[in-house]
Amino acid sequence: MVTLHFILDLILILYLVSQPLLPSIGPIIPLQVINIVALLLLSFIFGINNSGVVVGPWVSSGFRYRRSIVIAMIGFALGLLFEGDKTSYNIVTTDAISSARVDIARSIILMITLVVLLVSSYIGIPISMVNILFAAYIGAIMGMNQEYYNEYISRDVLTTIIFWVVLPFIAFFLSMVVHRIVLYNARLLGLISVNRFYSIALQIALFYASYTIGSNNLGLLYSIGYDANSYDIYGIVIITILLSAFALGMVNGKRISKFIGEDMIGLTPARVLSSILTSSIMLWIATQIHVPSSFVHLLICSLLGVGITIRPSLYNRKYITLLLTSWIFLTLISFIVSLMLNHMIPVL
Amino acid sequence: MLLRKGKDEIISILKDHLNIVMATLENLSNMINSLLMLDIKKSKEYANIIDTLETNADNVHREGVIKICKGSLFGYMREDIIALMEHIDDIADSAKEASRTLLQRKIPEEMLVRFLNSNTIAYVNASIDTVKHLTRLIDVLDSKSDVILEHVRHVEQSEEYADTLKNIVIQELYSSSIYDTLTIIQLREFIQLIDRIADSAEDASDVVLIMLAKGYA
Repeated sequence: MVTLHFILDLILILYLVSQPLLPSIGPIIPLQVINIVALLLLSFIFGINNSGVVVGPWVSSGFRYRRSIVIAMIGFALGLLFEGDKTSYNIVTTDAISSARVDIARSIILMITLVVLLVSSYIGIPISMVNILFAAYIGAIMGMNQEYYNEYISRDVLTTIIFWVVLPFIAFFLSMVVHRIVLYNARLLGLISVNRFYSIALQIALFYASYTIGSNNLGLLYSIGYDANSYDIYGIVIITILLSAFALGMVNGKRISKFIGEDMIGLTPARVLSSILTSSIMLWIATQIHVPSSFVHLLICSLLGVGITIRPSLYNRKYITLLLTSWIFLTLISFIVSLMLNHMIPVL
Repeated sequence: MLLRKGKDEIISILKDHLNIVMATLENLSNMINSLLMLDIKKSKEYANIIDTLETNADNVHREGVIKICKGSLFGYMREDIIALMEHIDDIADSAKEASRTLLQRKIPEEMLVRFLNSNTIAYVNASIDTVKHLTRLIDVLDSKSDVILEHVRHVEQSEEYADTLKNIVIQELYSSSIYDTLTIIQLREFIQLIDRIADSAEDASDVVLIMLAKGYA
Protein backbone atom coordinates (compact mmCIF):
# COMPACT_ATOMS: atom_id res chain seq x y z
CA MET A 1 0.00 0.00 0.00
CA VAL A 2 2.81 2.43 0.95
CA THR A 3 4.73 1.67 -2.28
CA LEU A 4 1.63 2.37 -4.39
CA HIS A 5 1.11 5.56 -2.43
CA PHE A 6 4.72 6.55 -3.05
CA ILE A 7 4.30 6.05 -6.81
CA LEU A 8 1.05 8.05 -6.85
CA ASP A 9 2.71 10.89 -4.98
CA LEU A 10 5.61 10.98 -7.42
CA ILE A 11 3.22 11.17 -10.37
CA LEU A 12 1.30 13.96 -8.65
CA ILE A 13 4.43 15.93 -7.80
CA LEU A 14 5.77 15.62 -11.35
CA TYR A 15 2.43 16.84 -12.69
CA LEU A 16 2.42 19.82 -10.33
CA VAL A 17 6.00 20.72 -11.17
CA SER A 18 5.27 20.54 -14.90
CA GLN A 19 2.32 22.99 -14.76
CA PRO A 20 4.33 26.25 -14.92
CA LEU A 21 6.28 24.77 -17.84
CA LEU A 22 3.18 24.05 -19.93
CA PRO A 23 1.33 27.35 -20.20
CA SER A 24 0.41 26.78 -23.80
CA ILE A 25 -1.19 23.42 -23.26
CA GLY A 26 -2.99 24.38 -20.07
CA PRO A 27 -3.74 21.99 -17.20
CA ILE A 28 -5.34 18.71 -18.19
CA ILE A 29 -6.97 18.55 -14.81
CA PRO A 30 -7.89 21.75 -12.94
CA LEU A 31 -5.37 22.69 -10.30
CA GLN A 32 -8.08 22.83 -7.64
CA VAL A 33 -8.78 19.14 -8.21
CA ILE A 34 -5.08 18.32 -8.07
CA ASN A 35 -4.81 20.25 -4.81
CA ILE A 36 -7.63 18.26 -3.28
CA VAL A 37 -5.97 14.99 -4.32
CA ALA A 38 -2.72 16.25 -2.80
CA LEU A 39 -4.58 17.22 0.34
CA LEU A 40 -6.01 13.72 0.67
CA LEU A 41 -2.65 12.10 0.05
CA LEU A 42 -1.18 14.41 2.67
CA SER A 43 -3.81 13.43 5.16
CA PHE A 44 -3.06 9.77 4.42
CA ILE A 45 0.60 10.30 5.27
CA PHE A 46 -0.39 12.39 8.28
CA GLY A 47 -2.44 9.41 9.41
CA ILE A 48 0.59 7.12 9.11
CA ASN A 49 2.71 9.51 11.16
CA ASN A 50 0.05 10.05 13.79
CA SER A 51 -0.64 6.39 14.23
CA GLY A 52 2.78 6.32 15.82
CA VAL A 53 2.64 9.34 18.05
CA VAL A 54 -0.87 8.76 19.35
CA VAL A 55 -1.32 5.02 19.11
CA GLY A 56 2.30 3.98 19.57
CA PRO A 57 2.60 4.72 23.28
CA TRP A 58 -0.73 3.03 23.83
CA VAL A 59 0.31 -0.07 21.94
CA SER A 60 3.61 -0.22 23.81
CA SER A 61 1.60 -0.58 27.01
CA GLY A 62 -0.08 -3.65 25.63
CA PHE A 63 -3.35 -2.44 24.18
CA ARG A 64 -4.95 -3.54 20.94
CA TYR A 65 -3.99 -1.62 17.82
CA ARG A 66 -7.33 -1.70 15.99
CA ARG A 67 -9.36 -0.62 19.00
CA SER A 68 -7.07 2.34 19.58
CA ILE A 69 -7.41 3.37 15.91
CA VAL A 70 -11.22 3.50 16.20
CA ILE A 71 -11.13 5.60 19.39
CA ALA A 72 -8.55 7.90 17.86
CA MET A 73 -10.56 8.45 14.67
CA ILE A 74 -13.65 9.54 16.56
CA GLY A 75 -11.52 12.01 18.50
CA PHE A 76 -9.87 13.40 15.37
CA ALA A 77 -13.22 13.92 13.65
CA LEU A 78 -14.80 15.71 16.61
CA GLY A 79 -11.73 17.90 17.11
CA LEU A 80 -11.69 18.97 13.48
CA LEU A 81 -15.42 19.68 13.38
CA PHE A 82 -15.75 21.53 16.69
CA GLU A 83 -12.50 23.48 16.99
CA GLY A 84 -10.71 23.03 13.67
CA ASP A 85 -11.30 26.65 12.69
CA LYS A 86 -9.19 27.98 15.57
CA THR A 87 -5.88 27.27 13.82
CA SER A 88 -6.95 28.09 10.28
CA TYR A 89 -4.59 29.96 7.96
CA ASN A 90 -5.66 30.84 4.48
CA ILE A 91 -4.08 32.14 1.30
CA VAL A 92 -6.27 35.07 0.37
CA THR A 93 -6.60 36.78 -2.95
CA THR A 94 -5.59 40.43 -3.04
CA ASP A 95 -5.07 43.06 -5.70
CA ALA A 96 -1.66 41.54 -6.28
CA ILE A 97 -2.58 37.88 -5.87
CA SER A 98 -5.18 36.27 -8.12
CA SER A 99 -7.09 33.08 -7.30
CA ALA A 100 -5.07 31.23 -9.95
CA ARG A 101 -1.89 32.29 -8.24
CA VAL A 102 -3.34 31.16 -4.91
CA ASP A 103 -3.99 27.72 -6.39
CA ILE A 104 -0.39 27.49 -7.56
CA ALA A 105 0.89 28.60 -4.17
CA ARG A 106 -1.34 26.02 -2.52
CA SER A 107 0.03 23.36 -4.86
CA ILE A 108 3.59 24.27 -3.96
CA ILE A 109 2.85 24.18 -0.23
CA LEU A 110 1.16 20.79 -0.49
CA MET A 111 3.86 19.43 -2.76
CA ILE A 112 6.68 20.42 -0.40
CA THR A 113 4.84 19.01 2.60
CA LEU A 114 4.10 15.78 0.72
CA VAL A 115 7.70 15.23 -0.26
CA VAL A 116 9.04 15.83 3.24
CA LEU A 117 6.40 13.69 4.93
CA LEU A 118 6.80 10.93 2.37
CA VAL A 119 10.52 10.70 2.96
CA SER A 120 10.15 10.72 6.74
CA SER A 121 7.35 8.14 6.65
CA TYR A 122 9.46 5.88 4.45
CA ILE A 123 12.41 6.16 6.84
CA GLY A 124 10.15 5.70 9.86
CA ILE A 125 10.76 8.92 11.80
CA PRO A 126 7.83 10.93 13.14
CA ILE A 127 8.00 14.40 11.64
CA SER A 128 5.73 17.30 12.46
CA MET A 129 3.44 17.95 9.53
CA VAL A 130 2.41 21.15 11.25
CA ASN A 131 5.91 22.60 11.20
CA ILE A 132 6.53 21.64 7.57
CA LEU A 133 3.12 22.81 6.37
CA PHE A 134 3.26 26.08 8.28
CA ALA A 135 6.85 26.79 7.20
CA ALA A 136 5.93 26.14 3.56
CA TYR A 137 2.85 28.35 3.98
CA ILE A 138 4.92 31.25 5.39
CA GLY A 139 7.50 30.80 2.63
CA ALA A 140 4.72 30.93 0.04
CA ILE A 141 3.17 34.12 1.44
CA MET A 142 6.55 35.84 1.71
CA GLY A 143 7.49 34.69 -1.77
CA MET A 144 4.27 36.01 -3.31
CA ASN A 145 3.75 39.27 -1.51
CA GLN A 146 6.15 40.62 1.07
CA GLU A 147 3.90 43.54 1.96
CA TYR A 148 0.92 41.32 2.60
CA TYR A 149 3.10 39.13 4.84
CA ASN A 150 4.40 42.11 6.81
CA GLU A 151 0.92 43.52 7.30
CA TYR A 152 -1.13 40.45 8.14
CA ILE A 153 1.01 37.46 8.95
CA SER A 154 4.30 38.46 10.57
CA ARG A 155 2.96 38.89 14.10
CA ASP A 156 1.23 35.48 14.01
CA VAL A 157 4.41 33.90 12.73
CA LEU A 158 6.48 35.41 15.50
CA THR A 159 3.97 34.24 18.12
CA THR A 160 3.91 30.77 16.62
CA ILE A 161 7.69 30.41 16.54
CA ILE A 162 7.96 31.58 20.16
CA PHE A 163 5.38 29.04 21.28
CA TRP A 164 7.04 26.29 19.26
CA VAL A 165 9.97 26.73 21.61
CA VAL A 166 8.11 27.59 24.82
CA LEU A 167 5.38 24.95 24.80
CA PRO A 168 7.73 21.92 24.64
CA PHE A 169 9.69 23.33 27.58
CA ILE A 170 6.50 23.73 29.59
CA ALA A 171 5.45 20.22 28.56
CA PHE A 172 8.83 18.89 29.74
CA PHE A 173 8.34 20.20 33.27
CA LEU A 174 4.58 19.77 33.48
CA SER A 175 4.90 16.08 32.61
CA MET A 176 7.04 15.52 35.72
CA VAL A 177 4.26 16.94 37.88
CA VAL A 178 1.54 14.99 36.11
CA HIS A 179 3.59 11.81 36.42
CA ARG A 180 3.93 12.24 40.16
CA ILE A 181 0.20 12.82 40.51
CA VAL A 182 -0.57 9.72 38.45
CA LEU A 183 1.86 7.59 40.49
CA TYR A 184 0.53 8.90 43.76
CA ASN A 185 -3.00 7.89 42.83
CA ALA A 186 -1.89 4.56 41.37
CA ARG A 187 -0.17 3.60 44.61
CA LEU A 188 -3.48 3.92 46.44
CA LEU A 189 -4.86 1.08 44.32
CA GLY A 190 -4.22 -2.65 44.41
CA LEU A 191 -2.20 -4.34 41.67
CA ILE A 192 -5.17 -5.57 39.62
CA SER A 193 -7.18 -2.38 40.13
CA VAL A 194 -4.26 -0.27 38.93
CA ASN A 195 -4.20 -2.25 35.70
CA ARG A 196 -7.89 -1.48 35.22
CA PHE A 197 -7.30 2.16 36.08
CA TYR A 198 -4.63 2.49 33.40
CA SER A 199 -6.78 0.66 30.87
CA ILE A 200 -9.62 3.11 31.28
CA ALA A 201 -7.50 6.23 31.79
CA LEU A 202 -5.41 5.54 28.70
CA GLN A 203 -8.46 5.16 26.51
CA ILE A 204 -9.73 8.52 27.73
CA ALA A 205 -6.29 10.12 27.26
CA LEU A 206 -6.01 8.68 23.76
CA PHE A 207 -9.38 10.12 22.83
CA TYR A 208 -8.43 13.53 24.22
CA ALA A 209 -5.10 13.47 22.36
CA SER A 210 -6.90 12.65 19.13
CA TYR A 211 -9.38 15.45 19.70
CA THR A 212 -6.64 18.03 20.24
CA ILE A 213 -4.69 16.88 17.19
CA GLY A 214 -7.85 16.95 15.11
CA SER A 215 -8.65 20.49 16.17
CA ASN A 216 -5.12 21.88 15.90
CA ASN A 217 -3.37 19.96 13.14
CA LEU A 218 -6.18 18.75 10.91
CA GLY A 219 -7.76 22.18 11.15
CA LEU A 220 -4.57 23.74 9.83
CA LEU A 221 -4.26 21.14 7.08
CA TYR A 222 -7.82 21.71 5.92
CA SER A 223 -7.55 25.50 5.96
CA ILE A 224 -4.29 25.70 4.02
CA GLY A 225 -4.99 22.76 1.76
CA TYR A 226 -8.56 23.66 0.86
CA ASP A 227 -10.07 26.85 2.22
CA ALA A 228 -10.10 28.21 5.74
CA ASN A 229 -13.56 29.69 5.46
CA SER A 230 -15.32 26.95 3.63
CA TYR A 231 -17.53 24.83 5.84
CA ASP A 232 -20.29 24.53 3.26
CA ILE A 233 -21.49 21.23 1.80
CA TYR A 234 -18.38 20.89 -0.38
CA GLY A 235 -16.21 21.60 2.62
CA ILE A 236 -18.00 18.95 4.68
CA VAL A 237 -17.53 16.42 1.86
CA ILE A 238 -13.83 17.26 1.68
CA ILE A 239 -13.54 16.93 5.45
CA THR A 240 -15.20 13.51 5.31
CA ILE A 241 -12.91 12.24 2.60
CA LEU A 242 -9.93 13.82 4.37
CA LEU A 243 -10.76 11.94 7.56
CA SER A 244 -11.19 8.71 5.63
CA ALA A 245 -7.76 9.09 4.05
CA PHE A 246 -6.37 9.87 7.47
CA ALA A 247 -7.94 6.74 8.94
CA LEU A 248 -6.48 4.64 6.14
CA GLY A 249 -3.08 6.08 6.91
CA MET A 250 -3.38 5.23 10.59
CA VAL A 251 -4.11 1.61 9.80
CA ASN A 252 -0.87 1.49 7.80
CA GLY A 253 1.31 3.18 10.39
CA LYS A 254 2.53 0.32 12.55
CA ARG A 255 6.25 0.92 11.86
CA ILE A 256 6.21 4.40 13.38
CA SER A 257 4.25 3.05 16.32
CA LYS A 258 7.14 0.71 16.98
CA PHE A 259 9.68 3.55 16.73
CA ILE A 260 7.94 5.69 19.33
CA GLY A 261 6.95 2.86 21.60
CA GLU A 262 10.06 0.72 21.65
CA ASP A 263 13.06 2.36 20.01
CA MET A 264 13.21 5.64 21.83
CA ILE A 265 12.53 5.20 25.53
CA GLY A 266 11.31 2.54 27.91
CA LEU A 267 7.65 3.13 28.68
CA THR A 268 5.36 2.13 31.53
CA PRO A 269 1.63 2.83 31.63
CA ALA A 270 2.16 5.68 34.10
CA ARG A 271 4.69 7.40 31.86
CA VAL A 272 2.56 6.90 28.78
CA LEU A 273 -0.52 8.29 30.50
CA SER A 274 1.34 11.28 31.95
CA SER A 275 3.01 12.11 28.63
CA ILE A 276 -0.13 11.87 26.54
CA LEU A 277 -2.17 13.90 29.03
CA THR A 278 0.49 16.62 29.27
CA SER A 279 0.97 16.96 25.53
CA SER A 280 -2.79 16.97 24.92
CA ILE A 281 -3.31 19.74 27.47
CA MET A 282 -0.51 21.80 25.92
CA LEU A 283 -1.86 21.26 22.41
CA TRP A 284 -5.34 22.26 23.50
CA ILE A 285 -3.92 25.47 25.00
CA ALA A 286 -2.08 26.10 21.73
CA THR A 287 -5.37 25.69 19.84
CA GLN A 288 -7.12 28.20 22.09
CA ILE A 289 -4.40 30.82 21.39
CA HIS A 290 -4.57 29.99 17.66
CA VAL A 291 -1.06 28.57 17.44
CA PRO A 292 -0.59 25.52 15.20
CA SER A 293 1.60 23.23 17.21
CA SER A 294 3.17 19.82 16.91
CA PHE A 295 1.87 17.02 19.07
CA VAL A 296 5.03 15.08 18.23
CA HIS A 297 7.25 17.74 19.81
CA LEU A 298 5.09 18.02 22.88
CA LEU A 299 4.80 14.27 23.35
CA ILE A 300 8.50 13.61 23.02
CA CYS A 301 9.38 16.46 25.39
CA SER A 302 6.80 15.11 27.85
CA LEU A 303 8.28 11.62 27.60
CA LEU A 304 11.74 13.02 28.22
CA GLY A 305 10.47 15.03 31.17
CA VAL A 306 8.93 11.96 32.74
CA GLY A 307 11.91 9.78 31.94
CA ILE A 308 14.50 12.11 33.38
CA THR A 309 13.07 11.82 36.88
CA ILE A 310 13.32 8.04 36.90
CA ARG A 311 16.47 6.18 37.87
CA PRO A 312 17.79 4.19 36.15
CA SER A 313 16.55 5.69 32.91
CA LEU A 314 17.30 4.47 29.45
CA TYR A 315 17.42 6.72 26.39
CA ASN A 316 18.29 6.15 22.81
CA ARG A 317 20.29 9.35 22.34
CA LYS A 318 21.01 8.64 18.73
CA TYR A 319 17.32 8.65 17.85
CA ILE A 320 16.57 11.72 19.94
CA THR A 321 19.40 13.64 18.23
CA LEU A 322 18.13 12.44 14.85
CA LEU A 323 14.65 13.70 15.68
CA LEU A 324 15.80 17.14 16.84
CA THR A 325 18.06 17.78 13.87
CA SER A 326 15.51 16.53 11.36
CA TRP A 327 12.80 18.75 12.85
CA ILE A 328 14.85 21.93 12.58
CA PHE A 329 16.48 21.07 9.28
CA LEU A 330 13.33 20.00 7.46
CA THR A 331 11.32 22.96 8.73
CA LEU A 332 13.93 25.38 7.45
CA ILE A 333 14.21 23.55 4.13
CA SER A 334 10.44 23.68 3.66
CA PHE A 335 10.37 27.41 4.30
CA ILE A 336 13.30 28.18 2.00
CA VAL A 337 12.11 25.98 -0.88
CA SER A 338 8.58 27.36 -0.67
CA LEU A 339 9.89 30.94 -0.57
CA MET A 340 12.14 30.40 -3.57
CA LEU A 341 9.57 28.57 -5.69
CA ASN A 342 6.84 31.11 -5.02
CA HIS A 343 9.24 33.97 -5.66
CA MET A 344 10.37 32.46 -8.97
CA ILE A 345 6.90 31.81 -10.35
CA PRO A 346 5.55 35.01 -11.87
CA VAL A 347 2.58 36.63 -10.21
CA LEU A 348 -0.55 36.06 -12.30
CA MET B 1 -17.71 -1.18 39.45
CA LEU B 2 -15.73 -1.67 36.28
CA LEU B 3 -12.59 -1.90 38.36
CA ARG B 4 -14.13 -4.42 40.73
CA LYS B 5 -15.49 -6.68 37.99
CA GLY B 6 -12.14 -6.90 36.31
CA LYS B 7 -10.29 -7.57 39.53
CA ASP B 8 -12.65 -10.42 40.47
CA GLU B 9 -12.34 -11.90 37.02
CA ILE B 10 -8.55 -12.07 37.00
CA ILE B 11 -8.24 -13.47 40.51
CA SER B 12 -11.01 -15.98 39.85
CA ILE B 13 -9.22 -17.31 36.76
CA LEU B 14 -5.98 -17.71 38.69
CA LYS B 15 -7.61 -19.26 41.76
CA ASP B 16 -9.57 -21.83 39.72
CA HIS B 17 -6.32 -22.93 38.17
CA LEU B 18 -4.42 -22.99 41.46
CA ASN B 19 -7.14 -24.99 43.25
CA ILE B 20 -6.78 -27.84 40.79
CA VAL B 21 -2.99 -27.64 41.05
CA MET B 22 -3.20 -27.82 44.86
CA ALA B 23 -5.47 -30.87 44.58
CA THR B 24 -2.80 -32.46 42.37
CA LEU B 25 -0.18 -31.84 45.01
CA GLU B 26 -2.35 -33.19 47.82
CA ASN B 27 -2.80 -36.41 45.91
CA LEU B 28 0.95 -36.54 45.25
CA SER B 29 1.51 -36.32 49.00
CA ASN B 30 -1.06 -39.07 49.58
CA MET B 31 0.62 -41.21 46.93
CA ILE B 32 4.00 -40.86 48.64
CA ASN B 33 2.44 -41.81 51.98
CA SER B 34 0.93 -44.91 50.36
CA LEU B 35 4.33 -45.87 48.96
CA LEU B 36 5.79 -45.48 52.41
CA MET B 37 3.17 -47.98 53.63
CA LEU B 38 4.22 -50.18 50.65
CA ASP B 39 0.63 -50.04 49.38
CA ILE B 40 1.49 -50.00 45.65
CA LYS B 41 -2.10 -50.54 44.53
CA LYS B 42 -3.29 -47.47 46.45
CA SER B 43 -0.40 -45.39 45.19
CA LYS B 44 -1.28 -46.32 41.60
CA GLU B 45 -4.83 -45.13 42.22
CA TYR B 46 -3.51 -41.83 43.47
CA ALA B 47 -1.27 -41.59 40.41
CA ASN B 48 -4.33 -41.98 38.18
CA ILE B 49 -6.12 -39.24 40.10
CA ILE B 50 -3.07 -36.99 39.67
CA ASP B 51 -3.10 -37.71 35.94
CA THR B 52 -6.78 -36.74 35.67
CA LEU B 53 -6.30 -33.61 37.75
CA GLU B 54 -3.32 -32.53 35.66
CA THR B 55 -5.42 -32.88 32.52
CA ASN B 56 -8.15 -30.76 34.19
CA ALA B 57 -5.50 -28.20 35.11
CA ASP B 58 -4.41 -28.06 31.46
CA ASN B 59 -8.01 -27.46 30.37
CA VAL B 60 -8.53 -24.73 32.95
CA HIS B 61 -5.22 -23.20 31.91
CA ARG B 62 -6.22 -23.17 28.27
CA GLU B 63 -9.65 -21.65 28.99
CA GLY B 64 -8.08 -19.06 31.26
CA VAL B 65 -5.59 -18.02 28.59
CA ILE B 66 -8.39 -17.68 26.02
CA LYS B 67 -10.43 -15.52 28.41
CA ILE B 68 -7.45 -13.29 29.10
CA CYS B 69 -6.56 -12.97 25.42
CA LYS B 70 -10.11 -12.01 24.57
CA GLY B 71 -10.50 -9.76 27.60
CA SER B 72 -10.68 -6.06 26.91
CA LEU B 73 -9.19 -4.48 29.99
CA PHE B 74 -6.03 -6.40 30.70
CA GLY B 75 -3.73 -3.92 28.99
CA TYR B 76 -0.08 -4.26 29.74
CA MET B 77 -0.69 -7.11 32.19
CA ARG B 78 -1.97 -9.59 29.62
CA GLU B 79 1.34 -11.27 28.88
CA ASP B 80 2.33 -11.31 32.55
CA ILE B 81 -0.87 -13.04 33.63
CA ILE B 82 -0.41 -15.60 30.87
CA ALA B 83 3.18 -16.19 32.03
CA LEU B 84 1.94 -16.55 35.60
CA MET B 85 -0.57 -19.20 34.53
CA GLU B 86 2.14 -20.98 32.58
CA HIS B 87 4.29 -21.33 35.70
CA ILE B 88 1.30 -22.51 37.74
CA ASP B 89 0.62 -25.13 35.08
CA ASP B 90 4.25 -26.25 35.30
CA ILE B 91 3.61 -27.14 38.95
CA ALA B 92 0.88 -29.60 38.00
CA ASP B 93 3.02 -31.00 35.17
CA SER B 94 5.92 -31.58 37.54
CA ALA B 95 3.68 -33.27 40.10
CA LYS B 96 2.34 -35.64 37.48
CA GLU B 97 5.79 -36.52 36.18
CA ALA B 98 7.09 -37.01 39.72
CA SER B 99 4.27 -39.48 40.44
CA ARG B 100 5.02 -41.39 37.23
CA THR B 101 8.73 -41.50 37.91
CA LEU B 102 8.26 -43.28 41.23
CA LEU B 103 5.94 -45.89 39.68
CA GLN B 104 7.58 -46.40 36.29
CA ARG B 105 9.82 -49.08 37.73
CA LYS B 106 9.29 -51.15 40.84
CA ILE B 107 11.79 -49.91 43.39
CA PRO B 108 12.92 -52.61 45.84
CA GLU B 109 11.03 -52.16 49.10
CA GLU B 110 14.07 -51.78 51.27
CA MET B 111 15.39 -48.94 49.08
CA LEU B 112 11.99 -47.29 48.88
CA VAL B 113 11.53 -47.24 52.64
CA ARG B 114 15.10 -46.02 53.10
CA PHE B 115 14.59 -43.21 50.61
CA LEU B 116 11.21 -42.04 51.91
CA ASN B 117 12.69 -41.01 55.24
CA SER B 118 11.84 -37.93 57.27
CA ASN B 119 14.14 -35.68 55.24
CA THR B 120 12.56 -36.68 51.94
CA ILE B 121 9.03 -36.25 53.33
CA ALA B 122 10.04 -32.85 54.72
CA TYR B 123 11.49 -31.94 51.33
CA VAL B 124 8.28 -32.86 49.48
CA ASN B 125 6.22 -30.95 52.07
CA ALA B 126 8.49 -27.91 51.75
CA SER B 127 7.93 -27.84 47.98
CA ILE B 128 4.19 -28.12 48.48
CA ASP B 129 4.33 -25.36 51.12
CA THR B 130 5.97 -23.10 48.53
CA VAL B 131 2.89 -23.56 46.36
CA LYS B 132 0.63 -22.85 49.36
CA HIS B 133 2.46 -19.57 49.86
CA LEU B 134 1.88 -18.85 46.18
CA THR B 135 -1.83 -19.48 46.68
CA ARG B 136 -1.86 -16.92 49.49
CA LEU B 137 0.00 -14.51 47.24
CA ILE B 138 -2.69 -14.85 44.57
CA ASP B 139 -5.34 -14.23 47.24
CA VAL B 140 -3.81 -10.83 47.99
CA LEU B 141 -3.02 -9.91 44.39
CA ASP B 142 -5.22 -6.84 44.53
CA SER B 143 -3.64 -5.53 47.70
CA LYS B 144 -1.08 -2.77 48.04
CA SER B 145 2.47 -3.35 46.90
CA ASP B 146 3.97 -3.83 50.39
CA VAL B 147 1.51 -6.64 51.20
CA ILE B 148 2.22 -8.35 47.90
CA LEU B 149 5.98 -8.01 48.42
CA GLU B 150 5.68 -9.64 51.82
CA HIS B 151 3.97 -12.68 50.31
CA VAL B 152 6.47 -12.84 47.46
CA ARG B 153 9.19 -12.98 50.09
CA HIS B 154 7.44 -15.91 51.81
CA VAL B 155 7.38 -17.83 48.53
CA GLU B 156 11.08 -17.18 47.97
CA GLN B 157 12.03 -18.18 51.51
CA SER B 158 10.01 -21.37 51.24
CA GLU B 159 11.69 -22.22 47.93
CA GLU B 160 15.12 -21.63 49.46
CA TYR B 161 14.25 -23.93 52.36
CA ALA B 162 13.10 -26.59 49.89
CA ASP B 163 16.43 -26.18 48.06
CA THR B 164 18.33 -26.75 51.29
CA LEU B 165 16.39 -29.94 51.99
CA LYS B 166 16.92 -31.08 48.39
CA ASN B 167 20.69 -30.92 48.88
CA ILE B 168 20.41 -33.03 52.02
CA VAL B 169 18.24 -35.63 50.27
CA ILE B 170 20.60 -35.84 47.28
CA GLN B 171 23.60 -36.19 49.55
CA GLU B 172 21.91 -39.02 51.41
CA LEU B 173 21.04 -40.68 48.11
CA TYR B 174 24.61 -40.60 46.83
CA SER B 175 26.31 -41.46 50.07
CA SER B 176 24.21 -44.50 50.86
CA SER B 177 25.48 -47.83 49.58
CA ILE B 178 22.18 -49.70 49.46
CA TYR B 179 20.88 -48.17 46.22
CA ASP B 180 21.67 -49.67 42.83
CA THR B 181 22.56 -47.37 39.94
CA LEU B 182 19.20 -47.55 38.20
CA THR B 183 17.37 -46.72 41.43
CA ILE B 184 19.67 -43.76 42.04
CA ILE B 185 18.86 -42.43 38.55
CA GLN B 186 15.14 -42.94 39.12
CA LEU B 187 15.10 -41.32 42.54
CA ARG B 188 17.30 -38.44 41.43
CA GLU B 189 14.82 -37.67 38.67
CA PHE B 190 12.05 -37.69 41.27
CA ILE B 191 13.99 -35.23 43.44
CA GLN B 192 14.53 -32.89 40.48
CA LEU B 193 10.85 -32.97 39.62
CA ILE B 194 9.87 -32.10 43.20
CA ASP B 195 12.40 -29.26 42.98
CA ARG B 196 10.68 -28.06 39.80
CA ILE B 197 7.44 -27.70 41.76
CA ALA B 198 9.04 -25.21 44.15
CA ASP B 199 10.98 -23.51 41.36
CA SER B 200 7.84 -23.00 39.28
CA ALA B 201 6.07 -21.48 42.26
CA GLU B 202 9.00 -19.14 42.80
CA ASP B 203 9.04 -18.23 39.09
CA ALA B 204 5.36 -17.41 39.35
CA SER B 205 6.09 -15.06 42.25
CA ASP B 206 8.79 -13.39 40.13
CA VAL B 207 6.15 -12.64 37.51
CA VAL B 208 4.11 -10.93 40.21
CA LEU B 209 7.19 -8.83 41.03
CA ILE B 210 7.40 -7.77 37.37
CA MET B 211 3.71 -6.84 37.43
CA LEU B 212 4.37 -4.72 40.51
CA ALA B 213 7.28 -2.96 38.84
CA LYS B 214 5.23 -2.18 35.74
CA GLY B 215 2.16 -1.08 37.61
CA TYR B 216 3.81 1.33 39.99
CA ALA B 217 6.75 2.70 38.01
